[in-house]
Amino acid sequence: MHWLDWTVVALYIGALVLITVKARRTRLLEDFTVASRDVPRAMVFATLSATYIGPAYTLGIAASAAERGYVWYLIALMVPLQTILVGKWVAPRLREYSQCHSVGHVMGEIYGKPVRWITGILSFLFNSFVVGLIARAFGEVVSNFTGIPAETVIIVGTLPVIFYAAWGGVKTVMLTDAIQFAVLAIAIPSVIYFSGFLFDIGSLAGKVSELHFTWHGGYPPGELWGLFVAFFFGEILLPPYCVRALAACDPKQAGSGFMAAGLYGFPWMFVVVTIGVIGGASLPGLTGDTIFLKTMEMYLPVGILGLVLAGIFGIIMSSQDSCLHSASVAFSIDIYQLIRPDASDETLLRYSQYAVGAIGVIAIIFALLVPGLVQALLIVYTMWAPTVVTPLVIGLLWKGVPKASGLAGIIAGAVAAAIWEWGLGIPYGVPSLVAGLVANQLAFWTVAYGYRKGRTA
Amino acid sequence: MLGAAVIISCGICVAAGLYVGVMIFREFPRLRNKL
Repeated sequence: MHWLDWTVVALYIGALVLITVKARRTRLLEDFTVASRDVPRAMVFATLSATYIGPAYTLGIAASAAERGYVWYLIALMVPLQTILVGKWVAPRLREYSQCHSVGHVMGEIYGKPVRWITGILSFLFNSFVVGLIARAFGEVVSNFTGIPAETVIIVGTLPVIFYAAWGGVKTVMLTDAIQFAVLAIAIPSVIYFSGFLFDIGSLAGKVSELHFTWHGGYPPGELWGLFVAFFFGEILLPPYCVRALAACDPKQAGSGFMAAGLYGFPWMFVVVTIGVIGGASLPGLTGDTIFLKTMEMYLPVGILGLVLAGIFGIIMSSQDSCLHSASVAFSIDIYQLIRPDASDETLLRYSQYAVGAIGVIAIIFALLVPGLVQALLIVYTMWAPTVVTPLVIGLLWKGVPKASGLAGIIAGAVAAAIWEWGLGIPYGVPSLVAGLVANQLAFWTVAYGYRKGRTA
Repeated sequence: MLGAAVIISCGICVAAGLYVGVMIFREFPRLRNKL
């Protein structure tokens, strides 16, 4: 890479740190956890878009599109689609819990302390692993691209994130997310422009297989439906997304911010998939996450390459900072506060900030030392949707929901997903997420029905 | 049709980025206190 490109990247990271310092340091717990619940619609849109557009929805989707084509647009659309539905029906109701700081806190209000505890632990583990996983993926991808040792990239890339997440909490996380969104949204489409295919996309037809332009991409129907379901439910209502709803000015702005972010996913996924298909046509034989970066390197002129790389850094950092923040809040609000209910807001704020530093450093160490991090993440990833998501949605929509049904659903979902994944080895190719969701709902409604019957008798 | 979809998608992405960029630039003094 040219020195000019490196200068652009360095200026970008320097500007982010400077803006963080210019933003005031957080002094109140509510500032740190939910930005004083005063975030306008446009900021909810920008920060939520930047958060869900992580490395998986750029580098990962592009790599899959290079191999299978535009079917990955349909698969990836499940994420913006669920975001729109959440914006319409769930986010406004989530925002109505004006006293809550986290998704665990909301679950506790609906289903009681044990559920708050379980949700808090799941949220803490999930977000902590994601921080480590992103650091590792970031290190490996940038190292492959630039030749800089992965260890250096992991440390240099994660330290600014730890600094600004601890300094200003979700305030600075959202502000930097919005800046990162502006950079990535402008920079990434330039890859298509400089590739020369923007006004000549039809010429790709002769360079990749015809399957790239079909709606199924050559996948068997069962596997395709499994992908649709996994992408629809896999990231629904993750803790960092729930924080955006809790932080909005009011329920209406929470909903419209979510819906705008979901609508934005439609053109975004199309751009990313098209870059993947261009990569597949331009670099035949190349597979994996580096295909996006290699396509950039192939087409972009000096200076612009640096800008787009800054956009990639933004994609990675904006997801990492949100997960780091959510892990720290889960620790202080859902775990520590339950052990020490008399802890003051000042103490909880201090512990949240310490937790950012501690989780960040541990994530770096894990990213450097533990090769099986992906497996560890998958364990927790498998556990979120089948446990927390459906009881949360039902609890928000049904005010008189029996408390015991939430706990029953969570336990049944976790046990079923674990048995399906590791005990039975994913029979018939049906994702463990689906098995967990079914078990969760069976247990949830059985207990709810029993409770109502008991009351009427 | 695919070509038109690519051009429109790129246009929307860039427009959204510019909108948020201008918003932050204009509103930063307020946002840094409000957020």
